[in-house]
Amino acid sequence: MSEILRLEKVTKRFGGLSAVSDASFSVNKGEILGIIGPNGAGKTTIFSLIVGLHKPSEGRIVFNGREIQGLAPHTIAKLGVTKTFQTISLFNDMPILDNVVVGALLRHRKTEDAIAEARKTLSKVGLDSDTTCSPADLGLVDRARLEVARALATGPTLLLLDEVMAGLTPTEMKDAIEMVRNIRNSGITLMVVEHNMKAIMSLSDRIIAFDHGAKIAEGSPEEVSNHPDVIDSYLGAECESA
Amino acid sequence: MTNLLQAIFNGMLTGGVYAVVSVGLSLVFGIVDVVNFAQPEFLMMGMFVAYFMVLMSGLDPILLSPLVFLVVFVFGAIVQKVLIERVLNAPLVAQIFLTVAVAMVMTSAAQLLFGADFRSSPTFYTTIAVHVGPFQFSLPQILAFVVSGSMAAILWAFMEWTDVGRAIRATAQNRTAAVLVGVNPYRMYVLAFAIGTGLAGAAGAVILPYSYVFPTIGHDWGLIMFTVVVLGGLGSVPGALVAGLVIGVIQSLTSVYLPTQLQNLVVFIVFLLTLAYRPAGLLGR
Amino acid sequence: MYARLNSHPFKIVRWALLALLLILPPLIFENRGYYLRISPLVLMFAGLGGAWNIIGGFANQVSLGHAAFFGAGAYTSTLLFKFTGISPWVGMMAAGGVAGILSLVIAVPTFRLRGHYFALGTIAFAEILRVLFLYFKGITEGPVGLCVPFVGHSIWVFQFHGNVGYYLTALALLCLTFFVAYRVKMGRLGYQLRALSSSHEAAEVVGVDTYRAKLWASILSSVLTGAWGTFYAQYLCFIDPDTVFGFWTFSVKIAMVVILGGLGTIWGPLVGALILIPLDEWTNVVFTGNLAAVSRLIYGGLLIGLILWQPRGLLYWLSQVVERRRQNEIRMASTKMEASHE
Repeated sequence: MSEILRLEKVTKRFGGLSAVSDASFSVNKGEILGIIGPNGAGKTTIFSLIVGLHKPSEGRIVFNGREIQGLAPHTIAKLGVTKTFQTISLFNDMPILDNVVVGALLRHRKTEDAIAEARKTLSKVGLDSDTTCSPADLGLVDRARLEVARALATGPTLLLLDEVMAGLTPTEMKDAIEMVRNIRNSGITLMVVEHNMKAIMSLSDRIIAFDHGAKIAEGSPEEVSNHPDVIDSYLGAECESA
Repeated sequence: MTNLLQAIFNGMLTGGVYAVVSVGLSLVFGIVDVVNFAQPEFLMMGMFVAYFMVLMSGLDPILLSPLVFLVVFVFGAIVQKVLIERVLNAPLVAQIFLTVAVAMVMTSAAQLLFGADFRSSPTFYTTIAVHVGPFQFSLPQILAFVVSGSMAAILWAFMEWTDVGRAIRATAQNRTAAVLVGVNPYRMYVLAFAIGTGLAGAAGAVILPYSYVFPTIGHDWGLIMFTVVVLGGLGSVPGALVAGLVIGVIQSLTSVYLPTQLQNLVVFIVFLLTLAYRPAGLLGR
Repeated sequence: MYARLNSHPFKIVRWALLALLLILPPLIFENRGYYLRISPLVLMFAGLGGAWNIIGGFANQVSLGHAAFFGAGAYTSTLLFKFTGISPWVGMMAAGGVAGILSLVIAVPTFRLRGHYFALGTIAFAEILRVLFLYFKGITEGPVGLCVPFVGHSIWVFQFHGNVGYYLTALALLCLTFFVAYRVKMGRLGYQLRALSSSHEAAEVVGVDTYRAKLWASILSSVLTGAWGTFYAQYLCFIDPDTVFGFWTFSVKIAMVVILGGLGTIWGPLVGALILIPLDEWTNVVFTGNLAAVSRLIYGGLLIGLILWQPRGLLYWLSQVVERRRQNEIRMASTKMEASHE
């Protein structure tokens, strides 16, 4: 398995607080890597660091052999890495189709080509009804789908999904898992952050667990879910009073 | 050397007034999240109110400044409640142009009511200069500085020690949390805006002894105010105070070494440089 | 009904009507008459608004300092004409060039800024230019202003007897301006600008080079504005720093035209200019002398009313009305279909 992304001792400090400490791990080409951890563990920060929204205080991020830490997000997107936003960040002043066209414009010079690509991507995620309404009119599920469509339209080789399944019903989650698998099967490597344990266990090839900004476990879903530190971070340590 | 120091001291005197006038602007941005492009016009309003109060009562404008503060305070509260509140959630363009329009209306109303003439309200101490060693200072400027300083101190005490002041600060720091503990944010906005404009008005009263009053005086003060506020950090009250002094000194020194027409040029360049390299200002939030 | 309004033959009729309307003034008004004197000004402000719209409306970067580019353009062509005799047409291109370069200069301190900070920066920039042009009297004649030497009626030197020539020139420049705005809005840059004004971060993450997009918008906007500056100088034959670099005389007015007509629309600036400029002229005629401030008062009051009612302008409001009707029609059509299936 070849390595597509590697983080080397990446640390990010905001003021006095370390959001991410000394994180080192790799992502293999074609895999689905799950990232778990309680809230505040630094998962979204790691994603932000990878796509270039923040610069690491220390450490390197290497994508396909090339150092990308400190590059502008649009440059990193051009190299093939993009993400969805945990708090959905759609372009609310633009119709649904246009949202995806913006993404498609990265690889398609002419607007007509970008629009065609956008339509294709929207059907891939199942959003091809009235594409002229505003994202604000969409329900939660469809908004998440739109975020994914927009990211997909940029033609990434590495896609970071940040809690796209938040708030979904079990049926909706099954469809979402299916969609993520289809994305992987089309040749895209994925890093996924989710809180729903069942979903992430069934999706991921490997899982990395974080707590308080530091990596605490790494391995197959079974290994990680049985790891004592991981259980502690979610459930808390045993009370030591008498 | 004396020339230099004299210029610096003079700069600090004018800077003190800049500080108080701009503090209101900073306050409003920090709390209401609106840049009040009409702030210079509130200064002008304060000057006219003071002028007419002096005319009617014969009292000293500096003594009248608390009254002037009150008048402008009420007017500012009305403006906030009736106009600005409506655009708090509107696009940025709307917010900017609303206060620009208010400035237009205030200037033209003043022109219609009072004509474009330059008026002045000299007091018995307008021409008195105080001599300290080799330096001389204009007494009205010293008084303006002292009163401005007191106003700043009162503002600080109000914000730090009173419940209302703390409520205002809470709203600026975390609106949702403030609401959850029972603070009415809209009331805080009205208060903050009214205080901010009231201060500008009171500063107008305080500079009356040594300034001319005319409807477009706001235009001369406008950019200086914004420079002070941005340099000090939009939203930072102590920042505005420090920046006011700094800008006053810069302006004063510039007038020593450069021709008068270019006096403000350096200030504007400082403004652009601050925006470019340190938009959060010296003590910004 | 909406579908019918948008159909091909009706579109042709709309365009024909518009062309007729625009070509009418020089045909029906007196060449040196009042109406033909202010018509080029209407077109000019429509053009200035259209140019401003490229960054103010499409990218939501509210500039309150466009007078900087306008004045720079006016002085560039005028000084060139005065000192070297170069035709103002060439001067117009130089004016655009100078304005474009200036926009690059101002981009450095202001581009990382958002919202209010950006607006404040643009104000400062225009003020700096105004002060500089006032100061260097030797070249610019300072506050006294510069007269464009009138050498006679000649297209070559961009001077005409009467106003028809100026009107047609303004019309041509307006078509150019609106064409550029149209191409920006419908093209790649338009999508990118709309995206970054909606969410700067998200736009970056999906590959939009926001700095470059804003830069291009700024360059296009300023070049056009500079060209209009030349037009103004040639039309009025007189420029001075307080007017052409003025905050109230130009920067605010330019933006106001767009806000009134419709922010981010193509035709908005024309609608805004058609309303605002005649109103301005009328109030200046009616309220003279001591009452001159009344026109400003009316302006300010209008602006306040407009912002409270419809901050995005008339055309935006109109498009919302049309959109709602369209949605209603779709809904009614689909319920009719359901009913007929029962």
